[in-house]
Amino acid sequence: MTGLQAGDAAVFGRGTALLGCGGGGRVDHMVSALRLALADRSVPVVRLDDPALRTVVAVGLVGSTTVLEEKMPSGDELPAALAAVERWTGERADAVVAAQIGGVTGPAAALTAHAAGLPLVDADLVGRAVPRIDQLSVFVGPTASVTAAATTTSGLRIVVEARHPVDLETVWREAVSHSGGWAAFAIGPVPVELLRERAVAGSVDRALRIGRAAGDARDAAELAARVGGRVVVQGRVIDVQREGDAIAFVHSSMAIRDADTGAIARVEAGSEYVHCLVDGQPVASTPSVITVVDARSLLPVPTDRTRVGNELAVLVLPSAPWWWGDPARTERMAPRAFGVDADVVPEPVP
Amino acid sequence: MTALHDLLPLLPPGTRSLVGAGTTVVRSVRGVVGAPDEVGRALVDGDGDDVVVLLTPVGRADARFDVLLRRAAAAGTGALVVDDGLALGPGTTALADRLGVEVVATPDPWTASVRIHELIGTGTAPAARAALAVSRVALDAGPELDDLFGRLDRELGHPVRFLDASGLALRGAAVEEAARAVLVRRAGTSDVLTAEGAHETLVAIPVGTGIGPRAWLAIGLPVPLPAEQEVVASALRVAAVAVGHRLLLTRLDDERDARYRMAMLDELRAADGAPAPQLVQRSIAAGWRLDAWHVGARMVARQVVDPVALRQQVDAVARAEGLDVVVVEQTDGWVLWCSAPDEPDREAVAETAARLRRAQNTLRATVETNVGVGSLQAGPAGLVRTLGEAGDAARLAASRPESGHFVHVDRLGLAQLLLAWTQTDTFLPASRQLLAPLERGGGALLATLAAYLDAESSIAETAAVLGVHRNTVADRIARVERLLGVDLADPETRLALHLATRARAGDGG
Repeated sequence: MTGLQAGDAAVFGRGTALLGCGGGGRVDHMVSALRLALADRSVPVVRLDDPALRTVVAVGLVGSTTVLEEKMPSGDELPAALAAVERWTGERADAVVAAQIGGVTGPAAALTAHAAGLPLVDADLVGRAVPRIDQLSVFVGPTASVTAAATTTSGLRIVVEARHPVDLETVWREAVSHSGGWAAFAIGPVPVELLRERAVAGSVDRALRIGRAAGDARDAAELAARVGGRVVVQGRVIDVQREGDAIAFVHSSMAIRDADTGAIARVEAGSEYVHCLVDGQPVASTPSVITVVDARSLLPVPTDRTRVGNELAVLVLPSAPWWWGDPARTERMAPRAFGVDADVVPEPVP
Repeated sequence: MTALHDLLPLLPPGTRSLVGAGTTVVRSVRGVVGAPDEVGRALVDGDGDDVVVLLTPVGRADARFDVLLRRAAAAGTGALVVDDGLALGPGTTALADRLGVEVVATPDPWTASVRIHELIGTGTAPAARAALAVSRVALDAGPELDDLFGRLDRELGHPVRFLDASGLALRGAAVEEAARAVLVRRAGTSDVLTAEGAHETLVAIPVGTGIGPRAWLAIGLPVPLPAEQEVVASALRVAAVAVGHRLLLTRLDDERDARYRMAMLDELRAADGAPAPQLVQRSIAAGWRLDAWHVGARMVARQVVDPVALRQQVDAVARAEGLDVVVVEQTDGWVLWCSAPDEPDREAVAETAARLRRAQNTLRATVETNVGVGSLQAGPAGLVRTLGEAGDAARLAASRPESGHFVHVDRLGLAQLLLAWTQTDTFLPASRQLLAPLERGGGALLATLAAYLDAESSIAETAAVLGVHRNTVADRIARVERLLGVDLADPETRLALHLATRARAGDGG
């Protein structure tokens, strides 16, 4: 892979949306912005093992993705955050990496790289979408102090040096709730050695492959087959229940009756789809990528858009193997970390 | 084999099925404490109990409940009983339906668990507990039967019925015909009997008081579960003693009151219209208004009855007709009277009689009676007189099926009364014999004699009435005197013959 071009934007966005697991924010506006910004140029995409890399800044968005839809980015927020963190640390970044590939952050990272004139690393820190910053892989395991900057839509710039990512999260959430509803953030610069140890490599490529497959596939089964996943249920939604919850922002539970087998599947979600059962038997959970698509258009359906009567297919794609490498990592991505009280369901060995 | 739906009515009130038709056969039950996942872990694959009761409130039917449903299906558990705070969404309902696991909601899982255990069990502890509970109720309840019955209803969870000897329900729902037949056939029993009906099984026990007719205490069970029958039977045995005791006390009170009333009425009759001041005082205390206008009635039962026991009912049917009556028991029935401070007009008296007649009809469901109603009379003497007339009228009513065994003595009625006196077994043959010589000759002599006596022995009047010449009348009367060998100038002879002609006329001769 040499670079992302304007023509790749839509495919890339579709892939990141599917990897968003029902959360991560809507990609449409960001994809349009990326396509227009790229025009006839391209963003270079470099592999994580590129010897030229030294330090990399991770970028992403924090806050309410709903507000993000209504209050669109001006395009300056992410470069401003990147600049702030560079100025504070006095280090220049060699490249930009997406904090998480899933959802709006994927295209946003590409746009930031383009704006800053830096290459985009073919990797991310999750391999999907997560609700909290401490779930980024760089924060799993021993961490030196973190430097990060955030820019809110109201123009507020905050640079935080924290010993622990949870402090970072606390400060930003507080700032965001008082200033604009969402913020762009930049973390780092992160030494490339740490990234090589902890980041999920090949994420950009994977998003492109998934996006392409979704565009070509005729049905959910074909899509699943092409991206190495499986369809656990396909049919009509018979029940959707939503309620507020102290841990996650929202908790919802959806029941689907499989059109072929009559099986009753339940998908539980926080801000992402987290846990899936068929006939009372748990079949998938985070860290696996549980994503829900419209059965006909194969377009991703966010957790807050499911309705009784929808014809949906639930796809499960394998998670980044990194998360299974150590019980401490798996625990950080377990359903309980998403506010759903359930045990981790191991992925079937292919 | 007991199906779950048979047990549901016997579980705490409000217990209802959320999923399934209650077809699970219940042979074992188990209550488990804990969240759904903990309950699920307690289920053994292929070896679960038929019913599992979740003793801890579930909260919400989420994925963990789905997992529990699957565990239950794998364990062979047919039904889960949950607290009724749990709302099942369509998803959970569909899954339970698909897995074949029934879900029942109850306001009290603990009690439901214990109840199911007892209902399918064979131990005697529940029966003993029921007997103890009823004995405590019997001690706590007041002297009133209604109080006792109400408490028994609540304690036993089934409405208690009180039946008369024939199985007629005096309290509670009516008993099916088949069950009534069993009760009548087994009237001599002294222990609990069960009668299977189409819709329920009746568990009944006779209530004996030693006096008066027997009664039954009964409970209808919609489902004939042996364990439940045993519990109800043991409860009824204790309850029957308590009911009998109260019946006896009530009966003693009633008997005493009845004797008091009968004695007072007898004294009034004996006082011959001038009761002593003490008697007047006592009768006022009893609520009798002597110094008023009275219409008396006499009710004579056409079969053997217990007038003391039925007095309440007689009083009730009369009051239901809007009659403010005094009822006094007699050996074969009752006397009743209505009193009014001002003289009622003829219509009011007729209305009173009509109401008494309707009361008699209502009472027919319990007892067939002959009813006589006296004329309107005033004062203490008048009361005795109207009751006397009523008594005579009641005797007359005995032979009047065409009038519904009801006779009201008004002016017309007095004539009928006279007629009634002549139509006795001794007088009718005598009158026929007396007038037999006049039968010959076409009956003209008989008609002439009757007209002559009605016309106060006036030849001219008789001729006018019969439309014949006065000489013809004189001639016929002379022939009558000759044929009968009597002297019509004699008042005694005239009276006897007058009555005889009336009797012949009434006799259809």
